[in-house]
Amino acid sequence: MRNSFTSCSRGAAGFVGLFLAVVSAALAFGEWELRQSVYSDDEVGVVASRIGAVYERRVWPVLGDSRLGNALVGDSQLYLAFRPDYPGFLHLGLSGESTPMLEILVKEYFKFRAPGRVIVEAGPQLFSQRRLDFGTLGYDRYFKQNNWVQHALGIWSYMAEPGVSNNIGPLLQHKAARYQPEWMTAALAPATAAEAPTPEHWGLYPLEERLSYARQRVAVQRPVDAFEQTSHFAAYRRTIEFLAEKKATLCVLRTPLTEEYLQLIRDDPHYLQAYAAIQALAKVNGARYVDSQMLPITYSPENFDNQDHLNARGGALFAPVAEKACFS
Amino acid sequence: MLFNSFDFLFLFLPLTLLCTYVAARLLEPRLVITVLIAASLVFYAYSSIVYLGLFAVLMVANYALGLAIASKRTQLPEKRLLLALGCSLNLGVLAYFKYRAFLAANLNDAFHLGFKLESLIVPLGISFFIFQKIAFLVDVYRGRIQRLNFQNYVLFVSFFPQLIAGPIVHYGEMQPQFDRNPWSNVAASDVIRGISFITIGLFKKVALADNFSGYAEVVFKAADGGMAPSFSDAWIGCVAFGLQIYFDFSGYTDIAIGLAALFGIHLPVNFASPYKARSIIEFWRRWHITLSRFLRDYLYIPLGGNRKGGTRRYANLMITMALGGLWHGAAWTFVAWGVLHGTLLSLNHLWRHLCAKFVPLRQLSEHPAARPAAWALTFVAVMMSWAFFRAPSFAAAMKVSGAMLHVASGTSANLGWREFLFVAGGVVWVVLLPNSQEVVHRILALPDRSLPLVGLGQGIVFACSMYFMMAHQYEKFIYFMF
Repeated sequence: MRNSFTSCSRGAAGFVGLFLAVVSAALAFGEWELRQSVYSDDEVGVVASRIGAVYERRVWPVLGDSRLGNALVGDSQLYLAFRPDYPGFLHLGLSGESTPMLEILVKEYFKFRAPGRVIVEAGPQLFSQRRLDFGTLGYDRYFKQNNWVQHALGIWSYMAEPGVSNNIGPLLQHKAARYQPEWMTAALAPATAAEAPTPEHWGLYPLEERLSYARQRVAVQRPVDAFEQTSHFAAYRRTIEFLAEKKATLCVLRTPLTEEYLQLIRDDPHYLQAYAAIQALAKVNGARYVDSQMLPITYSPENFDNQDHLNARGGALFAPVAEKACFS
Repeated sequence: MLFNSFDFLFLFLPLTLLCTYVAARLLEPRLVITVLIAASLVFYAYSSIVYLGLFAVLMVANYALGLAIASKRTQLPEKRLLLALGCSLNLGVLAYFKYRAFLAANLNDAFHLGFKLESLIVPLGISFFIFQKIAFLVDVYRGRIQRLNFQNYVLFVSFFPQLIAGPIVHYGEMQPQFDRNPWSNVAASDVIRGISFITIGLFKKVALADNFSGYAEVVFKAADGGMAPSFSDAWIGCVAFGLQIYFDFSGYTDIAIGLAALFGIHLPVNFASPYKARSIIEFWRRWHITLSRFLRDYLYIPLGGNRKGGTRRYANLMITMALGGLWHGAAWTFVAWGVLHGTLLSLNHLWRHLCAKFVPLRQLSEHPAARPAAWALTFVAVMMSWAFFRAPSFAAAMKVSGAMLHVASGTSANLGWREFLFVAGGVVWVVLLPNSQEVVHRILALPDRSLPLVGLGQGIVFACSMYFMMAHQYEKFIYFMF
């Protein structure tokens, strides 16, 4: 067996050949599976779709359109105000985002795209302690393939993209479950306790409960002291500056909140300072600032899912008016 | 760059192999050294570009010192001075980056001072490459290295398979290999050996170690939060960590050995089924062998070893093991782990001494039942000691080790039968199955016609490991922290 590699035995050549063949096949299979599933929200997570939207120009079921360069930058308040079926925009945020993560995502998304109409959420909750604890949410490890060379060649691999390839386990389990006998599926299914149905909209909660829920949410979402000194506010500022430099048609939008929530923050200095700071930032960067309270819409509790999120009905009411106010 | 990453396995490694092959076959075999040095520096810079300069400065400074020590014109006192200077430089750098915050905190506690030193980002692999450089200087001083060659030296200190976490190699074992230009004629057996080691190592890391880590995490995190674990949780957590660190570190070493083999280089074995050991002395001959060798040759023996009587021997053992513990990390828990092992080693030596002196004890130790009992005792002692190594604080270590000694203790962190069986399976694996070297040895002894089937099997294992690796988001190797 001590012969040189170039004149090795047939057995050794077979060893190496079959090893490489299996590994290559596994790589190709994984890449193919990820490419199929990254588009479908029920098989891989939204992070994978969002990374996919940076690389690919298409319409995404959960995120919207990545072809045009119009984007919505915020968290669930903005996401539910403009539902994914609202045409012409791509949602870069979805829920519980942090501003450092949004900064990375925005910069990567517009690295090789000219920004068009971009709406950035004016959300004081982005500077609450809970969000500050999130950091970059791991996004600093993604997008290594979003470089000039690979962009020019149009070559990238989802297997080499950690935020996508980490779904390979659940994805293969999901595939395997399709061929699993029913008795096995039933045996493996986790036991779930029956949950009480959630009321269809905010108006169905008794007033006392609404106030109590709103109070809890306001406390959790309150910006931290000296939030302007935090790295998260710096990331938010850099995101707006970046978009302004890229000549985006920029709008900073304050999304609707329930009456209970609004009452509680009306005299809260943390919230007031945050809105003022965001408004000032918009002004400095030449962005239009739109306050949902100034729009000609009358909201009722039936337009909300909960304390601070519009439901589909509320979104349908709000989104076209807000877009018009932003860009007309 | 992690060995268990897509970039390394499917970009860096194939490119380096290709460049090496082209240089060795089509250009000049000695050019391969330059190619490997460049690849190694890229490998280091990828993870730690900030400290590439420090790495290069230390490399050149140590070589210059080595040259000065080796020079025939240098007198013995000057050689000693230069060696002391070199060791101080290396240990000073290590202390500055790794121990300064620890030192300051302890000085503050002891003397109520107000030093404010923040922890720095520790240069990757510093504990390993500093030891390697000290060994180099000492070997030059002792006349074990006759001929110095700068290119060989640079490759010796930077060779990427062993750069971050060993095995800790000696210049004397690498130079002759580099001189032979092994890459110009890599044997088929080396390629099979390399692929086999990489496949086994990757599987150990991503399929075993990364899965055991969760069980240990639950227990030690709870203990750190002030919760005393139950007896069963403490044992499951500690044994899970014992398995995690073994599969993690030996997996890393297997990959390192396999990578080197692909270039025709042989790295020393670092693990030889340590959990099969029937004494602590045997455990340390099987666990992190190259570190044990370093501590023995460059610390224990220079301290006097066993040449100055029983008491001195035990004291030397304690000092060596305490410093060995501290080498792992800047925390008293690591020192406690080292002291614990020093104590166990001393007790083991004392027992051997008594057995040699008293016939009944010798008969007892030679009884057939003594073998499994000795294994069990060693296993339990080693597992209990891991509590200090793993715990984030002394209080947490005491909570876990305390719970391991009290059957009716603490609260459960929900580690049940499933976790117990998984951990028990891991114990059976490490105790009954052959280790990586034995597996690879058996593969190489197979008839030629069987090799394609083995290649197919290894391809499947590698592919599964690749999927595990991605699912786990490329978890770091534990020893990258040290």
